[in-house]
Amino acid sequence: MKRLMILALAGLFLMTAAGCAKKTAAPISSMTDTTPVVTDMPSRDISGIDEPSISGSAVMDDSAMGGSSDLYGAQGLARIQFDFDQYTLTAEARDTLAANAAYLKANPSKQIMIEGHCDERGSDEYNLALGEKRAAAARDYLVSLGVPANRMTIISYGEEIPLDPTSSEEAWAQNRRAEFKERN
Amino acid sequence: MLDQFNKWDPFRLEAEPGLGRMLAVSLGVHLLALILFTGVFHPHLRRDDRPVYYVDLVNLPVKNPQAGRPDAQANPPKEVKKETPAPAPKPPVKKSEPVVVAPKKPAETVKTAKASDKPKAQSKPAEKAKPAAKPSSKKTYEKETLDAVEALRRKQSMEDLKNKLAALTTADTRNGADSKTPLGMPDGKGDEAGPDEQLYIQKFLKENWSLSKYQVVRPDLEARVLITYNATGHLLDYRFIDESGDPTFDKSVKDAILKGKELPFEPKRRLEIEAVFNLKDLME
Amino acid sequence: MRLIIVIVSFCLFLLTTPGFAAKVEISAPGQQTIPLAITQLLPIEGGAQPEIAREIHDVLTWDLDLSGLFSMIDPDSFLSDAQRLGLTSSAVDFSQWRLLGAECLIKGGYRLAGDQLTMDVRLFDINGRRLLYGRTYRGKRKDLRLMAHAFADQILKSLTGTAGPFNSSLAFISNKSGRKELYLMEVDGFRPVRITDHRSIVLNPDFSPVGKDLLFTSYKAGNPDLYRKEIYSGQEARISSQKGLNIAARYRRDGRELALTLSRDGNAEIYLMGTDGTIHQRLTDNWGIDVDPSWSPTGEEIAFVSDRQGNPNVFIVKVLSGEVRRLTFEGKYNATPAWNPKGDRIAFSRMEDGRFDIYTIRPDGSDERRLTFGAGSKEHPRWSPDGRFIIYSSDEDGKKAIYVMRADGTGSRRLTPPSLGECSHPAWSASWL
Repeated sequence: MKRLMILALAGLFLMTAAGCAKKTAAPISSMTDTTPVVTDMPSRDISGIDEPSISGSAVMDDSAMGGSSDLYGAQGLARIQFDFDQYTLTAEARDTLAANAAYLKANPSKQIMIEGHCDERGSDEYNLALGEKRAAAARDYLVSLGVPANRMTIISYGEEIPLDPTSSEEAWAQNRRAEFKERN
Repeated sequence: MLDQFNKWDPFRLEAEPGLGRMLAVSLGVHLLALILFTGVFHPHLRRDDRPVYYVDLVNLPVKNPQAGRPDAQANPPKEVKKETPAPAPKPPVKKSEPVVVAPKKPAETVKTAKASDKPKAQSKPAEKAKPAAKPSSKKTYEKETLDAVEALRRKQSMEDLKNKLAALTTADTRNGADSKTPLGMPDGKGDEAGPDEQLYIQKFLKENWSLSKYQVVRPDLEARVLITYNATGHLLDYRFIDESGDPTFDKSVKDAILKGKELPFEPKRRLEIEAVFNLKDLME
Repeated sequence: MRLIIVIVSFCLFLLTTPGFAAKVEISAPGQQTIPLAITQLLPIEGGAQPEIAREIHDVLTWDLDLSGLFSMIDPDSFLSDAQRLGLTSSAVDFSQWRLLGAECLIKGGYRLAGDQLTMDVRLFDINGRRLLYGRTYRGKRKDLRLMAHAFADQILKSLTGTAGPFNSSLAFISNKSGRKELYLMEVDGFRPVRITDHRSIVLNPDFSPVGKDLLFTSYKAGNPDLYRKEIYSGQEARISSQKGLNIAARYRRDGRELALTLSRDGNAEIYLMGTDGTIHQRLTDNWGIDVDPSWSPTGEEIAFVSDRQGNPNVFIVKVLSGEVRRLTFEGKYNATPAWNPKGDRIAFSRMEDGRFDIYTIRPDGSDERRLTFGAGSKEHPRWSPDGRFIIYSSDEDGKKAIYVMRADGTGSRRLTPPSLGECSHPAWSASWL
């Protein structure tokens, strides 16, 4: 019994000691400044094109687009319009295409390029694909009217070459089109 | 006939058997009591005099504000009583605290048997001087060491928010439109002066904590720190109980604590705060 | 005896009773920006070149302000320590800066010897009174801005763990010359340089993540073909000229493969192609239009635009299995997806009432957030390499221009001036150094 008491007392003394123990605050690390790393900037020049040496008009003209082919607006081949976000042909478009088909059949040597265009609304990339679908729709209809497919190529310009660059419903309606350009 | 008188001589000192031992024990216990209650070896258990508090009711959250509205009062509001110094014999007044600090100790009965009569005698004249202030304020201090203070603090911040909201619609209510709406704490008596220490420290630490939301990697970061201030409000020690795991976050917490090396008020006793830093209110 | 022991034990018990700690919860920082003081660099030796110091200061201020981490301390309030060349923590009077409320301090010196510029810069922590980051940059005088940008990147790294993207390049399309050509510029819009002379239509550039080249589409040869151009040598090569469209090419993260839209099979579909132009695989097979691919950082998935379910929406295809799932369900027209380099968010643009705004969404389709508001159409979001910022084109000022903003939509600022004409299709390179 006595031993137990002594043990208990010893235990209590230990507890006291533990309770009084305090963790001192960590001293703020006084970091000695080390010599900083040296970075050598790689010196490379971007091969740029000096603006003053390039001649260019401020206004973009939609003729002379592309490199080799010489295109001019064709008489007798009228353009057709499309509804917003659509590449299906309207009745009006079909009529115009019928007239175009007649012209092409009458002039068997003529080769044409069908351009698909969109209005400025919508995403650029999506409009490139949509323009192509419009041009393809016009071509396929012409083929169904008897024009040989090898006389026609298609290209899409998306919203890049608007007829009317203003932002209005009329302008947009104008820009949603397929154009027919003669190629030589 | 004189023999009768010789049997008992009032002037002759004759000890009872075992008196010496009992005297020694009594002396020892009294010495121990003296040591314990003058707080020579354990200053954190001591209770000092209560000096006058400075009252800043405008800027600081007030402790235990009285419920009800000033304009809805039937009786004039009670005066806020200042703390008066403890009555002259200190030890008896201090005696009651250790009793409460170790409330579950069975051995306390040994002490209370000897001590209880003293405080009762002293507190009666003290109570006559100031009706409710002293015992209740003593109780508040003791409450702070129990879990109830957490609920109180939450209630206080809820009431603060309610106050703010009410202030926004004060125009209507001030005209007595709803003069019965109680403000403050339901059990508040409005008779305690001084800042609500916990809220004040929370505000103090928050002001010193700077962290940009663009430094935050995860919104669930949390760090727990045990901060110790001494009686004059000086930072003694801090220790991370739980680190958040993100060094940027932990460093910002450490900076917040170290920026506040001096509390803006004196807590008059050693304060240990368990501070939890998290991002629950950070707008994401 | 027993009594004494009991009494002593009780007293000892009292001594060991710990004080109960009061609990306090701080649920948000009181200061949500770091007060930063940027001093003008001082000459280490030789004469002062105030233009150098000013330019470095301007670059650092612009970069660090965009980061959103800091609130700048007014330079007019700086005290005498700003005039002292403090390159070590012992040479800095921290108490002066603490007085101003600063928590971070940038100091340093420069030396100009002929054409060689040396920049010795330091970032100090005022609270801890110590140096956080220091570096010496050496280069040509004309690379001054790049050196300052590189330092800004490192400042962000020491304070957040991730380096900044300021020492990198932006590419964009401008019609200043009369035609749409490809330009490069620094992250803050400085020093735009034209790098193509196709005199046709150049579109949609993408930087290589590993090399120093760019992909873009050009109509130079009469068809939308895919070109690659090396930035430093200027060498250019046409790498894909399939019939129909060769558009919107995007490098995979490891730079070894690219995804693009081809219409060679009669319909716009997403293909995988090698860097030499050989077709590896056709990813989509659908009657609808499939365009605008954007790789996930792991390379396992590609986000793209398709109208297979009606209106254009963003879909995600698994590269290995070809499995497609739809990402966007709100709105009627969702396009131009861009996958964050960290992989946790996809930015895209949604068209409503004829104009676009930029949104971000998690790859699982949850937590959609709108980033841009107000007038103007904001399109083509692209991420910075660290995922902190988004560049995009916006016509809120009338003409299309390139803007930059933080990933949460705040802090937007214009990068291209009106003198550059209409600017669109931005792209952000990897960090260069």
